[in-house]
Amino acid sequence: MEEKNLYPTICPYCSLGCGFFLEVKEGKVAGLSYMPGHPVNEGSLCPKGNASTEVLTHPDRLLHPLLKTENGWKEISWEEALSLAAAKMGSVLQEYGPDALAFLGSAKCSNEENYLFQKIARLLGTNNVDNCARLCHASTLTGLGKSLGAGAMTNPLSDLENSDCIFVVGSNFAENHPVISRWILRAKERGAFVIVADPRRTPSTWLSDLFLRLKPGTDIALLNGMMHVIVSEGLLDREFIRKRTRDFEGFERILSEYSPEAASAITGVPAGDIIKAAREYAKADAAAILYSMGITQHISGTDNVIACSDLALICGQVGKKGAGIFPLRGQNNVQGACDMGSLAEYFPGYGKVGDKEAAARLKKIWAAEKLSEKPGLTTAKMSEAARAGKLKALYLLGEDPVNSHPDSLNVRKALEKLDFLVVQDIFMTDTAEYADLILPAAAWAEKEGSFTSTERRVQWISRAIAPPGEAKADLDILLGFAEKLGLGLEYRDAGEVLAEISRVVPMYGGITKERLLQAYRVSWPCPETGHPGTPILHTERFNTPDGLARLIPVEYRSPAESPDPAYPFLLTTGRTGLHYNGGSMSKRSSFLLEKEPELFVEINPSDAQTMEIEEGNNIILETRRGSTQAKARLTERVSRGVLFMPFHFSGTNMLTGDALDREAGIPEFKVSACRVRRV
Amino acid sequence: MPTAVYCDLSRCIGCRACELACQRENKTSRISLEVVEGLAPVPVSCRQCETPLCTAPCPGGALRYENGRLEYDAEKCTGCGLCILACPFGAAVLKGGVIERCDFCPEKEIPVCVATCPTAALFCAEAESFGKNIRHRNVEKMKKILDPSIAAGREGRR
Repeated sequence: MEEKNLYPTICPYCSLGCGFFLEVKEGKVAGLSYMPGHPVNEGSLCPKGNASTEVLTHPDRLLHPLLKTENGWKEISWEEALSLAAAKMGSVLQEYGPDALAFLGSAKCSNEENYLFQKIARLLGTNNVDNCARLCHASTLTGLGKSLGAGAMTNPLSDLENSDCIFVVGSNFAENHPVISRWILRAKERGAFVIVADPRRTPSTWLSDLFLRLKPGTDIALLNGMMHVIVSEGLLDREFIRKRTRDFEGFERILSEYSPEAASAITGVPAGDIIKAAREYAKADAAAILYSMGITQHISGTDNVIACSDLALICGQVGKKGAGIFPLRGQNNVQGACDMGSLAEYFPGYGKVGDKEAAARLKKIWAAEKLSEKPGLTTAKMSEAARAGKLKALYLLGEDPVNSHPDSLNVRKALEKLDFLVVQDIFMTDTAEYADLILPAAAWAEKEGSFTSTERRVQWISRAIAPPGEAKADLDILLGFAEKLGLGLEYRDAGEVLAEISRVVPMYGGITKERLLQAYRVSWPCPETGHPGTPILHTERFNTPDGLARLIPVEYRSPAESPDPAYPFLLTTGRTGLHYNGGSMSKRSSFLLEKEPELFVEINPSDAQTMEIEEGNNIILETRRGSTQAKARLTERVSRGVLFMPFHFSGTNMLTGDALDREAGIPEFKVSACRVRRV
Repeated sequence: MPTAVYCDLSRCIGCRACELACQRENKTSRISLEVVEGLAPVPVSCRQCETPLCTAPCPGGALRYENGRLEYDAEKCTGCGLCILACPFGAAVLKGGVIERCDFCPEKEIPVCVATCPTAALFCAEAESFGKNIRHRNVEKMKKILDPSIAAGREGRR
């Protein structure tokens, strides 16, 4: 047999950071081997992980820089491409000022690439830089930021096995983060009680001891109802509340409105189940809360997150083994992209834009004369500004807003209106069709850099193979672009960028390439060389100025849109186990596509019967934004009056609305009023 | 007793990683997952029967039970598909005129479907051994439920 080399790598799909080996033969990927020693997945991999190598060998990969001409796409040289990008962005800067430029970073790119990307934007004078965290967990940053002082997962995933009660709300982990099931099952073997709150019956609910089927968008009523039970039955951890939190007095008052009966009337969950859930959670020695986009993607996203945090705080279930708050994030480096300041309102390390001290520190390290003090445009606002003609040029790094953002028709209008759009990606996407210039990038195993997983674990990926054609590592492309702009950014490689990151971002202080290569995993905060990293946050004090967590009362508000006679169904969106987000990667896997080939909509059989819809019928779905077609799937997974569609196929986000959470700017993907009819 | 890939159905989340892994390794998936009533996932692959029904109707003698295991000779296979009809589990699959069946990934230490399973629901064992394991596990469960120190803290539990 010919020689195969094994290269350790990290899965490019979701945020868990599972490890595996790439088998490389004569410079080409020949297969995949499992990595039983990896602490997150212990050798296992979900279906997408198993199909990940198809991305590397796919014939659709972009191979050359492409320029849009009257006769279609024309291959051009890197020299021409980068000069053009710099010239166009430069002339917009000259003519309209820095805020006519915007930069959309990628949670699929490394820490170093995101750091460099936002540095370019900020050196050009704008904070118009954002990433797709805005669409999935911006409300975690604002919500947990306010209550705990750090918007990140508090404990490692493997610590779930030490929990005695696991409360999952708004997360279909068994399909979207399958490997987590491993740790939850291990806790169950030890006798843990598992509660899953979700509007849909999903594989995650199969693993539950108690399933709370709530109406979409009523999470706060459920959580406040549970806290009402905990307070009135005296199940709180008074010592923890006294020593580690603030503002309990005002907080307690608001709960009186949420008796289990009142909460039941809003959520549709039987009052007895709310009481049982509250008792199980509060009485457990160590209890964990897992949440995901079912909590964050609402106009009350920030408040939803705060309610989760409040529940954990009044029961003292934070900062110890098996107890914590686990926001399950989306992309493989969405935590890192946020840490690196690829955000409109935060500098690297979460210094607030507008905070003089944070700006001064950054100016010194960057040797920059001035930095804009005005928070930039978030993704949704970029689209709005482009439609209004205020935003002229956009640099898009590995994102497909046409499919991933709400209200696609308006996104398309925005992209059309731009004077100049440059898209850097590994595949052609619906968004890239609107580009003036496309830059072909390297995929994860074709470059090096650090990635931060949802549990704050920073891992290094080394280059295993060369990129196809003329495609280049995103870092090299960005360095070339910066050079053409005359920004004077000189780094030899990703290691040098990480060295600067460790000076700028306090929690990365002790993280270097050399260290990651040795251990290839450290959990931040790791403030200095030799620091072991911090797997569990908030053990002694919270990250707030006085070290105390804040108990913040939140009220239930109904979603931006509710079903009415004209649009009688409630449409909610989410993911399936076999595809990933906009689908530019997973839909190019023949294995995955053959099992889940097209857009479908889940509808309850009795609703379907009333409307004479049968399994497999094509139906038309309409909301106030647009309409689309999908195949009907009759299933008890959804309740009557509720529809579910995955957002991996173009069409779903034609329907969703762009009503935003006030603080986080996250759109309410989870609730739209919708009507259906047969084709 | 034959060794085969079995599934602890209480752990399976129906994610289909086993199918994907098998497909990657063997071009076609020899394990397939059915979900009953949207609630119960059941992965099925060759049961490695001791008295295999699939061999009985085989006209060319391509499928034979020899030396305690099922042997398959693709050259003798006529692709008639009678074995598929005969298999009570629907585990045999005909692809391109050749029967695809689980051979435990001979080049790997353990079959890839078992190695990849996120919940460790799949395992490769002799039927006899896991019967004992299940009994043992249930006894452990009972012990926990009956333990007064644990039961006291969790009134009315399950």
